[in-house]
Amino acid sequence: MKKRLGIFLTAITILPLATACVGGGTNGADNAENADTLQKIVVNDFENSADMGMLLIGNKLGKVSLQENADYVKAGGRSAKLSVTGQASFGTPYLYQTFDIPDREEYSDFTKNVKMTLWVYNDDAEVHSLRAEYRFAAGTLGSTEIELGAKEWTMLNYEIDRQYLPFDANGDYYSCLGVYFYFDISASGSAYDLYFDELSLYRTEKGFNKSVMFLDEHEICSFDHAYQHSLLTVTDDYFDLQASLSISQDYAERDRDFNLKVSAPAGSTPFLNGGGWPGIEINQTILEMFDFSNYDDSDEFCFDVYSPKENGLDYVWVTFRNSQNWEVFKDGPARVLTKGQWQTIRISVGEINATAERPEEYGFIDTARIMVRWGEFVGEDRVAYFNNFRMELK
Amino acid sequence: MKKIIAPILAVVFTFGLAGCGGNTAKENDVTVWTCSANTKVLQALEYDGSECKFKIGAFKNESESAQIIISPTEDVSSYTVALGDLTASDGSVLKKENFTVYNEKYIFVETIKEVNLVTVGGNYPDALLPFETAVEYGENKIAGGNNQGIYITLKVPEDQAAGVYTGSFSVNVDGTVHNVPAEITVYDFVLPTATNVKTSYGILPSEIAYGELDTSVEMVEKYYDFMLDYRISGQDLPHSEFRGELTEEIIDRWVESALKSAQDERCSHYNLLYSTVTVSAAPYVNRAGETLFYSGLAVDMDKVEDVYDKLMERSMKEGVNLFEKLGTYFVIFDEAEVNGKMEMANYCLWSVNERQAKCIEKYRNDPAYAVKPGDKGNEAFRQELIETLANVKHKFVGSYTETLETDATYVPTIDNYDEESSRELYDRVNDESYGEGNGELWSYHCMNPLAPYPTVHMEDEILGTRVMGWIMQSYNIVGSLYWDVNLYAYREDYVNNLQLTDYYGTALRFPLANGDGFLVYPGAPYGIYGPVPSMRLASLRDAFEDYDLLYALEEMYLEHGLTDAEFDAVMNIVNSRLFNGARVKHGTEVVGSFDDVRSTLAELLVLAQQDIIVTQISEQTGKTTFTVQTPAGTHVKEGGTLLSGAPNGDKTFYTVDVNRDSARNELRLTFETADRVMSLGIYVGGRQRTIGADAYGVTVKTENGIYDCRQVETEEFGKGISVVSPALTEGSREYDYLTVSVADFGIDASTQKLILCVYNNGDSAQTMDIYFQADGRGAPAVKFDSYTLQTGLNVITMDISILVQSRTLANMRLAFPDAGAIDVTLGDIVVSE
Repeated sequence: MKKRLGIFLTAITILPLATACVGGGTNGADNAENADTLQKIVVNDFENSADMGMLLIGNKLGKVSLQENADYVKAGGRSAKLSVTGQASFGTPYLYQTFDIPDREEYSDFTKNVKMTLWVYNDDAEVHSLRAEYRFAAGTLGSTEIELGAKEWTMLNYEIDRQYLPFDANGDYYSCLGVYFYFDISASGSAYDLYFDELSLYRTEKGFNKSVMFLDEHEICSFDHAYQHSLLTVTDDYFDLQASLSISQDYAERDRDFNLKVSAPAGSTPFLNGGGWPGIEINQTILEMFDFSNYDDSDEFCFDVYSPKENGLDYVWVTFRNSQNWEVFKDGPARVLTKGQWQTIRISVGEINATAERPEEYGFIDTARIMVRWGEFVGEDRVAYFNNFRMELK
Repeated sequence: MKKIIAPILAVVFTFGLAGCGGNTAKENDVTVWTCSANTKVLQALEYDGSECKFKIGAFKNESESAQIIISPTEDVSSYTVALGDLTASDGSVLKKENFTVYNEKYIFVETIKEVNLVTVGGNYPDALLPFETAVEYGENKIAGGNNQGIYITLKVPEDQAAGVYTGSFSVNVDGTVHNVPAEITVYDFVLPTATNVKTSYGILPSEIAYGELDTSVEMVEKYYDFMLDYRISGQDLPHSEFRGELTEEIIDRWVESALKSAQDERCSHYNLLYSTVTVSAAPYVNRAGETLFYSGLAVDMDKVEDVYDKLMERSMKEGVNLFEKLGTYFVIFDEAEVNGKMEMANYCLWSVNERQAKCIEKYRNDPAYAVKPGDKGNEAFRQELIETLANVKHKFVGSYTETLETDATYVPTIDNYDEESSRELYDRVNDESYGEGNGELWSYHCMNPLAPYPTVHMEDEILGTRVMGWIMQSYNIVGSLYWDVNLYAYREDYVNNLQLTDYYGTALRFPLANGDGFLVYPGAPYGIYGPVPSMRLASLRDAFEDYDLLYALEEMYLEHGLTDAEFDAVMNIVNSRLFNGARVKHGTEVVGSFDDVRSTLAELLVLAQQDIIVTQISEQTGKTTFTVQTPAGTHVKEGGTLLSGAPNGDKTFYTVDVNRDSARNELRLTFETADRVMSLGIYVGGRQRTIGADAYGVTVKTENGIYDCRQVETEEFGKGISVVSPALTEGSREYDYLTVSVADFGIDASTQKLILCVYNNGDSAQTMDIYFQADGRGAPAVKFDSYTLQTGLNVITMDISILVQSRTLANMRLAFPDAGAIDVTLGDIVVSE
């Protein structure tokens, strides 16, 4: 069973501002704090086909169906049975619960939601892990991971740190589209059954203060602001290759210069044989604070990267997606990393524009998402540190 | 309102009010009525529900459907359907177990995307829920004022005796029983289970998982098998899904799946399993022989060879030709030209051709591929495999482009086959790739084209879907490709999937076309293991069944010595009732005449089995002449009168004229042999009028060429208009044309064809373009078609029925774009209803 600790748990040990999302599991009883002051909304009680219509599954999860055995029901007359099979080469199996339901705006309005709970029964003799991650049009809000004890009910208690909710440049809130649940593949390789019941959101009338997000001049993402830690995410193409992210000061050349440590798991296929392209993403919420129109062709998009000698990544490349339809308009080329030292990767605005896939349609000015990617590899897990995504004037 | 819904109503307007109410037209404010499966009855529109006979004409082994509609004025809390066995006059029984009853579910179309049609938004019938499931889930209810369709499909047993079966079905609406007389005609011809339509329809496992909440390969297999029952082969075999390296184990699993499909006669085609790789400065050669270099994502040719090797070995071992149904469809460069991936396409297609040739050489000479002990295939079979592999074709999805620099099979959208010149182009370029007569024509459909071209779009007339099969067979288009039958998501921006929470409630899932991307619905919400079909899917099966029936007819005609062109000429009179070019004729009359057209097809097939062949149909001014060939000893009657034929060896030829002097004119013959009586009815059209060359005026507009245009007397066809122009030494006749005023020809919505006689007096063929201009100031002249005038007499038949449906024609323009000398004579023009 792989452990994927979200960056939030790490972040809160470093920065007082970075309280981020707090998640966790509770065995046995519902101990939702301040429950009397919160309005509980049962989003999905897994009772009928309409409830099941709010779910999607992928990456060879297995099968999800309604069941009526009372032993596996926490509320009502039915629950959802998840037969988790998984298939390693297809990545982390997932189930997605949408909050984007017509006439139920309260589901997706996280400005008033403070947490989500879900009852999960693990019917296997093994302990399993469950990771949950909210999904917004502008990225994520961090994730939480819990252990599911064997043969017992566990309540997932996934809090929402509203100070980091995504807002666009006009101050309009990006509603929460839904929540992904990621499952581990059994260590024994056999299928196991979980049961979901009563997925609820909790609303409050209390207001909240938005985190003050700001950038230094020409800064895109320095990892020195707490909100930048919360709004980073791994790319979602290949879940089994998802890197673990944490904020670190390893190899820092000055005090309080935080960087992003990327721990990339090995895959089963070398990239050149058709393997995946995992990566990290600086999402739209961060980038919307940045004005890409201020730069000339000679100016350079830069970031620093440190690849340790013993277990560093071999190469990376940068991918730009446009703001109109999120299509990739610039991908690569790959840059070989010099091991054991900080190096700066530079791409001029002119080069980005000249080598864009459809230069007449999209260019640097249209950037909405920036990803740093690497090719799938086999063998030992690898590490790299990233810092100071920025523009340099030339 | 009546005008708006007219195209949808089809046959139901042609009968008086009745409904199926036992002895009364209506009982308890409920009208139960019937219509064919070629009509979509919207949920909330008013119809003159009048027909009360459940009628189907079907071939043995064919699936055909019809509808019973319940139209109550008050709410209905429950309705059920009861079928009964049907009997023929000779006592044969058609068992009720051969029928499947579905409850039609309605899906809301908010915005009409079929802008060329006259139709309305509203609830369209589509999903076909098994009736017992509808009852189980309490969906057998109707709100007052709505229509509820019951879709009943008959699968005729292969050994069912031909004949007319009658009996009665009943519909119980809140306790009141409505009897519905049923009449099923079983034609005396067996539809083969094996289909000749090659299909490549996307069945996406990831979206099956969305809708069914099941990611198992068994569920993918269920979908694949389900589609085969609708004569549709999946784009990928059910064991094609993998991620990461294409391992030997995955290839073995896929080859096992290929073996199963190769032996399944319902499967017509499957695409090669492949993986991708990134190449750097990889060489390839263009048509000019230049070596170019490509870097980027590509098909992994080493893996292609691995798969070919496995197919070769397994074919020999099993004695089953696994290359026969194989093709390639490399989706990584799908629609390459519009997606800017021509370089990738050229590299991959050139490379796969090269690698295929290398494999063929290897299988010919490498002892490792010789016949092995235990192989079921012998040396002759081995050679057959090699020949078959040499014929495996590689799809290029897109229209003709000069930027495609290597051999491939074009798969353009079906509207690309609208003009004869375009059909000739694809014939030529595909033959250039694969050898004279060996190229294959394919087409695809998606959100484009829109009607009047055939579509599977929600608000298109459903007959448009069915006529696709007729168009394809007519133009020898053997392949049909469609991107996804189970889009269980909404692709708002063409790329990203957004979740559907009600799979039965969202018609627009891909921008610009309602219904695009899905032909089935997930069964999981109803506890059904596997997909739920749609009316559009059923109509597509009808289309491909019709294709195979037409194919069988053509095969029999060719066996009797007719050429492709002669068969086409015979079928043209039938086909012209349904489509023109690649455009489906729409409207009440076409839907109403479809059963008649199918009946003619049935009669032609039954007669062909008895060696009775229509060898020629020629349209002349005022009449249509048929030539029919029969075996000696066959008596042919027209209207009870015995005809005399011209014996020729063991055959007799009969020539029959059908005058075009009535509103409806048709050939109707009876054939009597020693043991049976058969009939043939072919509708030839309405009245014809001739406009003499001395009765219409021609005006000339010329800038560069010089037209000498005057009335003449000709030996060929009397009065004519001579058009003479010397060869151009410079410039062109791009802006020169002759205008024939047709405003006084009496052309209206009932006009089907204009027939123009042109005599080419020159020594060489001449191109003539024809344009039509609608009435009204500033109306543009729209190109109708381009014709090649051979030397001598040319009879040009223009099907203008679609053109005149919504506009009044003012002028016909004739243009001669070639630079050579022009010397033609225009003759009479026939206006045909």
